[in-house]
Amino acid sequence: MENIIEVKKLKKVYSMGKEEVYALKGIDLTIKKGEFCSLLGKSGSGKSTLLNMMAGLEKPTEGSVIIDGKPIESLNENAVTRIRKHYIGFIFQSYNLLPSHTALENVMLPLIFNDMPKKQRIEKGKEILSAVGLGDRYYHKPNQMSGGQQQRVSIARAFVNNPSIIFADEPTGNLDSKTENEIMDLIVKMKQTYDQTIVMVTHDEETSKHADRIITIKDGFIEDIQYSGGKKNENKD
Amino acid sequence: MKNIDLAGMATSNLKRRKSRTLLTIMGIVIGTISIVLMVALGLGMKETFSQQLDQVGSINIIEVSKSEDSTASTRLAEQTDNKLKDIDIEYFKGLEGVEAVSPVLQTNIKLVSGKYEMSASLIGLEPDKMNAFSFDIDTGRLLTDDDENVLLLGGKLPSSFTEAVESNTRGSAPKNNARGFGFGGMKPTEEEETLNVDVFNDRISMTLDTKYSPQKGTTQTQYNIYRVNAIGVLADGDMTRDRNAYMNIHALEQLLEDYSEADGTTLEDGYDKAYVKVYDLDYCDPIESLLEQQGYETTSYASFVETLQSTTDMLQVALGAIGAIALLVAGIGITNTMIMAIHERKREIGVMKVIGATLMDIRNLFLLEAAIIGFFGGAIGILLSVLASQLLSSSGFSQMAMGGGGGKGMSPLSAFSFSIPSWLIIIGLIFTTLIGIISGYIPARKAMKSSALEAIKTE
Ligand SMILES: Nc1ncnc2c1ncn2[C@@H]1O[C@H](COP(=O)(O)OP(=O)(O)OP(=O)(O)O)[C@@H](O)[C@H]1O
Ligand SMILES: [Mg+2]
Repeated sequence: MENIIEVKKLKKVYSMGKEEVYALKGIDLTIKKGEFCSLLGKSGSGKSTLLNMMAGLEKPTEGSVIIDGKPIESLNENAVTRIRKHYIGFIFQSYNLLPSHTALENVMLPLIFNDMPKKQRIEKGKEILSAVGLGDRYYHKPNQMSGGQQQRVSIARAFVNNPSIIFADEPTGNLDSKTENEIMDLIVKMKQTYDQTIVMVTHDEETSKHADRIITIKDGFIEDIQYSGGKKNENKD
Repeated sequence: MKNIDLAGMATSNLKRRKSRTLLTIMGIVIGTISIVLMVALGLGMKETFSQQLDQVGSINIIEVSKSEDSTASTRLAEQTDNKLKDIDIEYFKGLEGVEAVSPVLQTNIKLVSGKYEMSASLIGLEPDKMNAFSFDIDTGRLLTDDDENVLLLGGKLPSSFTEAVESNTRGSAPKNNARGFGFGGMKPTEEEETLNVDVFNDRISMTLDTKYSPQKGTTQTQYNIYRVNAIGVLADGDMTRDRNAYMNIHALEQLLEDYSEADGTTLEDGYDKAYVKVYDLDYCDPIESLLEQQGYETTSYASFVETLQSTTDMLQVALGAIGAIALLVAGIGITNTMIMAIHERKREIGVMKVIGATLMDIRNLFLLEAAIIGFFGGAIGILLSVLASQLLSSSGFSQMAMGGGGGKGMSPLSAFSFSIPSWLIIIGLIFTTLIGIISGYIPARKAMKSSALEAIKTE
C-alpha cells in the first residue's frame, strides 16, 4: 500500500530564552494509506508536537514531513493551507466548534473553503450529521449540546470534506468512558465507511487499542510500535 | 472561498455583534455627515458667489484714469491736468488683449419727478461700445449714437425715487436714499407694484446741481434743468451698474460745458476715465500692471474676484478638513473595532485556518467586514446629509441667515445654501468604503498572521 505520510529524522527544539526544550529528538515514521495509527505516550512526551508537525501547523527544526509525496516543511504557509484544505481533517480534544454557528453550519465550514455551492453543502452536511447520529440536531448551537454531541459534530466536520487523512488530538480526552467508547466506535465506523487514514493522539492505552497500530512515544523518541492483534515490533526504524 | 460565501460570513459576523457594529457605523455616519455637509456648504457658497459674479457684466472691464500722483507718471508726463486724452484712448485700444475701449465722462446728477427725487451717478459712454461692455437690458433699449438727452437707467434706479424731505439744511439727502448697498429692498415685491415714478412715462427733470430741491423751485439754481426720458432700464443685479444712469458721452459733454459756463469756469478737455474691456479675465492682471507702470490708475473686479475665489477655496478646504478629521477618527474607530474583534475571534480564526481557510480567505473576511462598516456608514451618512440639507433649505434657514433680505442682492450670507451633487454622493461612498478597507488593513493582516496553533491550543 502507498505511503501517505512519511516522517524523516524529525526534530523539534523549542528555545525559551536561554533554555532549550527538545520536544522531538529524531522521529522516523511511515503511515500507509487507510491505516489507523495511534500515538501513545505520557504527558509531555511530544505526541501533540509530532501530530501538529504532520499537519503542517508547525515547522520542524530539522527533518521533513512528506504528505502524499510533498515535503511540506519547505512550503510557505499559503501552500500548506492548501494542502490542509484538500488532504487533512482535524478533530480536537476541546471540539473547537464555532460557538455562534449551528451544528450544520459548523459542519459546512470546510465545504465553504472548498468552494462548494450552498445547496450541495447543506445536503452533504445533513448527510454526515445523520451519519454521526445527530440527524435531529442540525440547528443546535454548540452550547445547546453535550460534550459527546459536540465531539460528534467535530468528527462530522473532519470527515465532511472526505480528506485523505484525519488527525485527532485526544478526541475523547474530555469525555466520560461510556461516551468515549461511543465516540471511538464512531471514529472506527466512519473510517471504514469513508476509507480514511487516521492518526490519533492519546495517553490512554485502552483508547489506543482501537487503532491498527500503536506507536508509543517517550521523551521525543519512538519507544515502541505495536500492531493490535498481539504483534509487537521493537522500534528500530 | 467564494465571494458570496465571504459576504455572507462577513455580514453574519457583523450582525452577531450588532451594538458594536452599529456604534462603529455611527462614527462613520457622523464623519460622513460632517464632511459631506461641509463640502456641500463650500460648494453652495462657491455656486452662490459665482452666480453673483456672473451677474456682474463688468467683470472683464478695467477702469483707467490718470494717476493723481503726476510724478509717478512716466508716459505722457508733459500733460498737466488729470484728464485722459484721445491719445491715451488710442493707446489703450492698441494693447494686446483689449477688446473695446470707451472714454468715460462722469458726474453726479439729481433726478426729479413730481414730489419724488433721487441722486445718481451719470456716466457718459460711447453708445456703440455698450454691447461690447455687455450691458444687459431689462426693458427698453440701449443707447444709440443719435440719442441726446435720454437716459439708460441702472437696474435699481427706477425704484429709488423717494419723496423729497422738507428740509432747511442745504443739500441734505433724502433719508430713504441711505438704504443699504446691494441688499435689495426691504419689501421688494410690494414696492415693485407701486413704484413712485414711471420712468418711461412720467415727466423727469435732471440737473447737475446736486443741491437742487424741487420744493424750492427752479429759482434756487442757476444751472440748467433738463427734461429727460428714460429709454431703457438695465437688468437688476449688477452691483457695479445698478445705481448709475448712462448717457451718450457727446450729449453729456455738452451738459458739462453748459455747467462750467454757468459756473464761470472752463471745462478741461479730455475724459475722466476710460473703460477698457479685455477679452479674458487672464488679461486683466498684465494689462493693469502695465498701465500702472505707465502712470495710470486702474481698478477692476478681477482682483476682487480672485480674492473671493481664493477665500471660498480656502473656506472649502478648511471645512473639508474638519470633516476629514471627523472621518479619520471614525476610521480609527473601525480599526479599533476590528482589532477587538480579532482578539475575540482568535480561536475562531485559528480553527478556520486548521480546517481549510487560506490566508487570503481570512484577510478578505476582515477587510470585507471593515469595508461594509465603511460603506454603510457612508451610505447612512450621505442619506442623512441629503435629508438635512433639504430640511435646512426648505425650513428657510438660508432666508433666515440672510436676515430677511431679498434673494437677489449680493448678500454673502445667502451663501448658506447646500448643494450635494451626485458626484459627491458617489465619491463619498467610495471614500468611506476605502476608509473602511484602509482601517481594516492592519487588523486583517494581524488576523492573517495570527498563529492557528496558538489559537487552538488555548483552552
Ligand atoms: N510552544 C512551546 N514552547 C516551548 N515548549 C513547548 C511548546 N510546545 C510544547 N513544548 C514542550 O514540548 C514538549 C512536548 O509537548 P507536547 O505538547 O507535544 O506534549 P504531549 O505529549 O502532547 O503532552 P499532553 O499529553 O500533556 O498533551 C513538552 O515538554 C512541552 O513543554
Ligand atoms: Mg498534547
